[in-house]
This record gives sequence, C-alpha cells and structure tokens, in this order.
Amino acid sequence: MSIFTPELERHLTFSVQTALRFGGGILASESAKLPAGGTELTGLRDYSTGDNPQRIDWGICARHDELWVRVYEGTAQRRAYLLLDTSYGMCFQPEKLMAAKRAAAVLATGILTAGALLEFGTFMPNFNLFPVLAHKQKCGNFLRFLEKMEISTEPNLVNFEYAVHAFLARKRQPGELYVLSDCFGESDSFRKDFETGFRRLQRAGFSCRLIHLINPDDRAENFVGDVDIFDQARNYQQSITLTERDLAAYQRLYDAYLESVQEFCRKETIPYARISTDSPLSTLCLTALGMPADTAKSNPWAEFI
Amino acid sequence: MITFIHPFAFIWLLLAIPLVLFYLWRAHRPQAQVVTGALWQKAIPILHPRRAWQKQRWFVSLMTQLGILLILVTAMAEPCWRRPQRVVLVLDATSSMSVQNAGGTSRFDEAKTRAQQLVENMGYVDSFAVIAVGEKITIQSRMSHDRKQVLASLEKLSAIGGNAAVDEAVSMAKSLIKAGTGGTFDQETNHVILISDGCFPLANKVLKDDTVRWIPVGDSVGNVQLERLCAERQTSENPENAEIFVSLRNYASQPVQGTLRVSWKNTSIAKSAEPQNDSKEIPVQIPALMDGGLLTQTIPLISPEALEIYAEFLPDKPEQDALANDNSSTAFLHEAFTYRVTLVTPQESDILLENALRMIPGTEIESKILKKGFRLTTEMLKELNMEPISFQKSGVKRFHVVVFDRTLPSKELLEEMANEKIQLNCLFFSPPTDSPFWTRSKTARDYVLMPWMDGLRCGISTAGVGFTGSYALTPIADTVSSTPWLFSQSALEINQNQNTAEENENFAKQAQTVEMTELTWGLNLSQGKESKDSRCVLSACDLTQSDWVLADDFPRFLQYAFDWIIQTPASEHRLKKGMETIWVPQDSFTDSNLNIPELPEKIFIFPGEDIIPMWTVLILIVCGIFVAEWYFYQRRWIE
Repeated sequence: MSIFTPELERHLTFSVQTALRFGGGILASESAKLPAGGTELTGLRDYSTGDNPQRIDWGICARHDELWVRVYEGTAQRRAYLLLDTSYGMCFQPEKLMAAKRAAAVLATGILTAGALLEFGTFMPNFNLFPVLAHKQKCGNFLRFLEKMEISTEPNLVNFEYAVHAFLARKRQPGELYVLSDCFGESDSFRKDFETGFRRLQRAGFSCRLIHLINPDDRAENFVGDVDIFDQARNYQQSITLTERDLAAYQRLYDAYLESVQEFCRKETIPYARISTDSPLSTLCLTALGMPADTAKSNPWAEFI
Repeated sequence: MITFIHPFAFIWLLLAIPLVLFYLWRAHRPQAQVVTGALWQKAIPILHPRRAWQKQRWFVSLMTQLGILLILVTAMAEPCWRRPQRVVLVLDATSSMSVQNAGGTSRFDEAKTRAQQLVENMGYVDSFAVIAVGEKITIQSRMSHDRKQVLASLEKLSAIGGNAAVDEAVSMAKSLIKAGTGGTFDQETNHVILISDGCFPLANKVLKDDTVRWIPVGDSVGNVQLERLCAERQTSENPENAEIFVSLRNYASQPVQGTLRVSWKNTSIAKSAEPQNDSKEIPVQIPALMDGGLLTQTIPLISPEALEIYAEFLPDKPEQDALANDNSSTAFLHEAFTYRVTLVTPQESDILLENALRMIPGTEIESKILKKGFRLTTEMLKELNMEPISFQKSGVKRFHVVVFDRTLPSKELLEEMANEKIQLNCLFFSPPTDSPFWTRSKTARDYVLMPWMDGLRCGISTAGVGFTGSYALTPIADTVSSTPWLFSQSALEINQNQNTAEENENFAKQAQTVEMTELTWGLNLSQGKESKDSRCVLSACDLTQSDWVLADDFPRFLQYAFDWIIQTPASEHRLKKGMETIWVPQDSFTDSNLNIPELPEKIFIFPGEDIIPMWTVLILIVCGIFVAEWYFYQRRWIE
C-alpha cells in the first residue's frame, strides 16, 4: 500500500492552506531582515563602531549634530531544514514510520508553499542531507523520494548530539530547522539526550521546531498479564507479569516523559507539535503543522478544496 | 465410606482437558517489542517484589481451577459418607391411619409424605422396597434402585383400612432384606423403616425391636372403642336367661359422654318363631384413660330364641371420638336348648361316659339297661326317640339323643326305622365289631390317619374309633356317607382323590409308628331318599386304654358329638370354632388406641439425611474460594 494516496494529497493541500491562513502554525516565522544587504531604507540609527562610513546620512547629521547611519533592509530567501529521525525506534513499527513520512510530506509541502528552500535530512544511524528543494512544484518528487527511501533497520538509538554535530559540520546557512522524531534517546531523560543538541543549533542561529511523533502503543495500554518486554535497540528483555498497578506506574513515567518534552520546548521557546500515529489522516496533517485538529471546521474553503 | 448418588456426574471432569489446554496455550508469554525500554527499566525496579509462588502463578492458578472443577463435579455427584443401603419401608395403612391430623391431613397422608421424602433422599446405589399393611399385607414395590418406580408405587397407595398384622409385615420386611443379603442383616446398611402411628397390636414389641426404625406420624387423639360385645346363656337350669355384655374403652385423657344403643333381633331358623326385635339406649360416661378408661355394661335378657345383637356407641361430642369404625359391633346369641339323653347299654353303664354326659350343660340322663338276650324293637326305639325335639314351658328346646353304649340296633331295625321315617339322633359308643354298618378294613386306618394327625397338629384332641390290631372299622359306602367332622374336609378330599394304592403304603408305614387309640366317625344315614338325613355319631373307644385322653377331652368330645347331631346355630358355630364353649365376639377392632406410643429416644434419620448435603458444602467452598480470591486481588496479594 502506498503511503501517499490521493486522499493524502488532498489533505496536504487543504491542511497547508488552512495553516497558512490561520497564521502558519509551526511554519510561522518572521522574515529574516538583512540590515546590511538591503536596498530599501527603513530607518536611521546612531553610528556605532564598525559601521560603513558610506551609510552615514550627512544631511541628518548636519541637522542633528550627531552621526546617524542609514539602515537599509531587504527580505532574505527563507531556508528550512527538515530532519527526520530514522532510528530503529521510528522504523520497526510500520505505522509509526508511515505517520512520520506523511508528517514529513505535510511539513515539506508547507515549507515549500511558504516560499522557503528546503533541505531534507535523516539523522540515524548516519546523517544524510539530500539536495535542496526550491519550489513547491518539486513536492511530487519529494513524496516519491520519501516513499522509496530505504531506511536501515539495524537496531540503534538516537544520538541527537552527534546528529547535530554532523549537521553543523555541513556549514549550512542558518534557517528554520524542523526535527521530526519520537524523542526517545539513549537514556530515560529527554533533556539529557536532546538539550545539548537543541542548544547548539540555537547558538548556531537555527530556529528549531520539534514535531513529536507518539505511538499510543508505547503507552502499553494492553500489557496486562504475563508479557516479555523486548527492546531490541537497547538489547533489553524482561519477562514480567504486569498488573494494572504496574502498568499505571509505567504509564505515569511515560506521561511524565512526554510532559518533559513539551516542558522543555516551552522553556526554550521551541515551537512544538505532537502527532499521534493513530490519528486520522486529516488530523495528522493539521497537527503536523502545529494546528489544532478542529481548525478545518473554520476553513470556509474546505468544501472547495 | 464415600458413595456417590450421581456417579455419572464425573463425566464433567472431562472439562479439565480444555482447561489444561487453555492454560498451556496461555503459558506462551506474548512478546512485546517496545522502544521505551529505558522507561521500563526505570519502572520495573519500583514494582513490588514477587514471592516465589507468585512466579509460578500460572501453575498455581491452573491447580486452583482444576481444584474448583473437581469440587464442583464432586458436588454434582452428591457424595455421602455411607454404604449402599437396603431399605424396606413398611407403611402402615390400617384403620387408625385414617385419623385426621390437626392440619386436616390424615395420618396416612403424612406417612406417604414422609415415605416420599425418604425415597427422594435415597441414593443411586440404595435400593428400596415398600410393604403396605392394610386389609392385608401387600408388597407394593420390590427391591429396586429406581426411585421413580418406588415413588409411583407410593402414589398408588390410596386405600386405608383393615387390621393386618404389622408385626408380620415387619417380619416379612426382614425376610425380604435377608433374601438379598444371603441371610445376614447388617443394621448399618439394612433398614426396616416402619412409618406408622404405632397404634397396632404388639406395638411395644415391634417398636422396641432394634432392627426396626420407627418414624412416628400423627398426633395423639382421643377415641372410644366398643371393646367387647358378647352374649351368653346364664345357667343350664334357666337357659332362656341371657346376658349381653358390653365394654367400652376410652383412650382419651378426658371422660367421654355418650349413648350406648343396643338392639337385637330374632334370627331363629324356625320359621314358626315370631320375630323379636327390641333395642335399648343407655346414657353412659366413660372415664378417662388415667382412670382406667373402661366402662362395662351388662344387659339382662330373657329369650330362648337365637338373637343377633348390635351395639353402637354414639358420643355426644363427635370430636372426642376420632375413629367411628370401632364404635359398633355385632354378636350372636344361640338359641336356648337342653339335652335329654337316653343311655342304652347292655351292662352297667360306663361311669366315665355317664360322668362326661353329666358335664354337658343342660343334660338330663336316663339310663336304659338292656337285659341279656333282649333285642331292640321298633316300638322300643319309637318309645325311646318319640320326641326328638320338645319344648319346655319357657320355650327352650330340648333335644332327645340316644346313646348306644357297647350295643347296636340291628341292620334290619334301622332299615325299618328309616322306612317309617323315624328321625334318629343317636350316638353309637364303642360299638361291637360285628355291626352291620361297617366292616373290618385295613384301608380305613390309612383313610383316617392323616386327618387325625392334622388334628393333632392343630391342637385338637381327638376321640374316635379304636383299632383292633391292625384293623379298623369303616362305614359301608352303600349305606352311609361318612364325614370325619373332626378334621378338615379338604384333607379328606385330597385323600379321596389320590391314588389309593400309594396311600396305603404310606399310611401303613406311618401306622406302625403312630399308636392310634381312638377314632370317631360322623355318619349321615342316607337310607331313606326322601327322609331327612339322620346324623349319628359312631364312637368306638376303648376307654380302659385311653382314659388319659378321655379324662380331659371326653366331655368336650361328647358336646361336639351332640352339636353334630342336633344342628342348631350354636352347634354349627361350635363346629366351626372348635371345642370352644364360650361365644367369641367378632374380631375386635385392634387399632382403637390412637395415642402415639412413647417416641423413640432417637428419631430415625435415613443415612445421608443427617449430613448437610455435600454439594451444598462444596458449593460454599467454591464460593469461599472466589470471595477469597477477589479479596486478595483487591488487596494485591494475588497478582
């Protein structure tokens, strides 16, 4: 079964247009001002050391008896990077991988529709960056690429710091950086695994966004009774008889983990979107863009799309 | 010993197979691949530690489930701690069981209910038989394991009444059990259960029998019985005077008032006699049982006729008399008569014979000694027997009987008397052997030997023909028809029908061992075809050799002989009843005491009935296990 169905294509267009109409959701970003490279005069400011002397407005200086510098401004081309977590935890569950690919497709469509340049990359087990997409007409190619993309199924764990290091080594121009991941790292703490990476990206000038992909199965709702828990990536196996009390203890930890991810993003002002693998397609497309699931109801164009 | 009432229920144990298969299937733990291994690693250490048996929880659970299944199936099989029982149920259906209880049901209905409860409680391996005692003892159901059949036989029981002997039924019940056990009677497994009110003759003996389990039914109620009604002629001097004797018995603790109504009517066979009906009502108060409970009433009566007497007690308060069947009775009074005996003897009269004749009530003796060479003539016989029956002034009959002692009229004389239709009431005592009526015969000995022995067995003393050597006197078949009235007619008929040759051999052998001294023949002289048969008694006795017999029985024998001759209702009655001289009333009602005898110390309970049904206990155990499991689960002890 193909991941990208005509229904998805329809929802892609609809959800992106809906998101852009209602502020962009996770795609929203301020235009990058280029104070030194623009041609449009936007204002004056006090001269400071290092300013180009040629931009001193001598007429104003004469009137005010101060050195004033003319400020020129122009809109730069937006650059966006979409990094997809292709670790074993994301790939061994087909529905999770499918949801991730569909979310990537939605984000890519949204980014390209917004007029930005998109660079797509995967960061586990190795970091890969694929050629730049510059126009939304290339979306079809990207979707086919996503569908045919081969992902290694070797057990591995996410090392986000390494992935960030590899990404920064490519010396890409700063821009918006979308991370699509389930946020499970090597340890049992999100902050421990992901904080350093996000901080480095922010210091490098990247505007980070986190799209958190969760699978309800990970909450182990049905794991009552005798069960062998098996984590191949960690080489961890445990035979246990789970009671509801045990399950509740685990679920508390799981919920706390999800909360810690969201709390981290809030503190670091990282736009955060959470999508669930069991969501219907329409909901998934909207939530991937950081929009509430019921946004579509308020879109008057819905019936014409 | 544990037995199971429904052993086929163990088929349900086959459910253990799918149960075990389910557990084996469930023993394969599902594998869950997760990406949150780190969280699981963090969570599991904080879970409570498992005990050793909890690690084998599935095995413990399987054993528990199998245990529950076993308990349930065992409960369905209804175990009981006893051996197979053989029970004979003796159900009292005599008249006393028709008494109504306070609840409106009869004692018999209550007994049937108890019997049905017992049968419904019987196990699969138990066997049951039902004997009902009513008019007669009947086996309603033979030994059977089929509960439905036994219940159906109980349903069929409806008739109540009669006074069959309960003790005989109990004996029959024991025999029925012993027939199936090879003659042994184990009280632990064999039971004779008597469901009765205990109101029957010999109750004390039966109820105290250790082998009889008595289940009492009914409540004690008051009852009045007309215990005895009889009538007797008072004296031989005034035989027309009679007395009616009535006794009433009150079995209640309170005195009972009522009316005793006695009525009588003439039942004389003489057509000329006028019917004589009369009645008398006497108000009576019968004392309570504590005071003896007995009331006797004697009613004098003057009547020479035979009377049928009917007495009835009518209580003022019918509720004080639970049973009405025993309030009435009928008795008969024979007609009054005397004997005039002419003793004809060639020599001095025999003292023994004369004394015996004098002992018969109302006998007047006249001796006629025949001189040597004197021959009896017709005129003399007519003179002697002129009035075979005469009446006294009081209306009492007097029969004239001629006793020939050691002499006989000649054959021609008797034929002449028969021709002239002279009725002859004669007793030929110790006749000479050259009599024309009989001949010497060896076979006669065989002919009478067996009835004589039967008589001995029945306790009837005999008197009769003496044997001379190996010969006996036998009547000539052409002239007389003989009836050995002392003995049963049926025995004689059998002897007559059997092969004579074989009889001769058999009786001849017995005759050598049995010393017969006496024999008596009743003779019907049937010479005149139109004339009424004259009954005579031929008695050939050697008094010198058999005085030990005669000393006791000779008067009674003579009375018996007279009864044979004169054919009155009294004599017929005596012939039927044997040598009894007292008028025995009708069979008295035996179940009138409706007070329940003292209850047994321990009410008998059918084995298994005293145990709380095992299935109930087992179901309770299972429920307990489920409750405990639920409780422990709530407390997180079993997880």
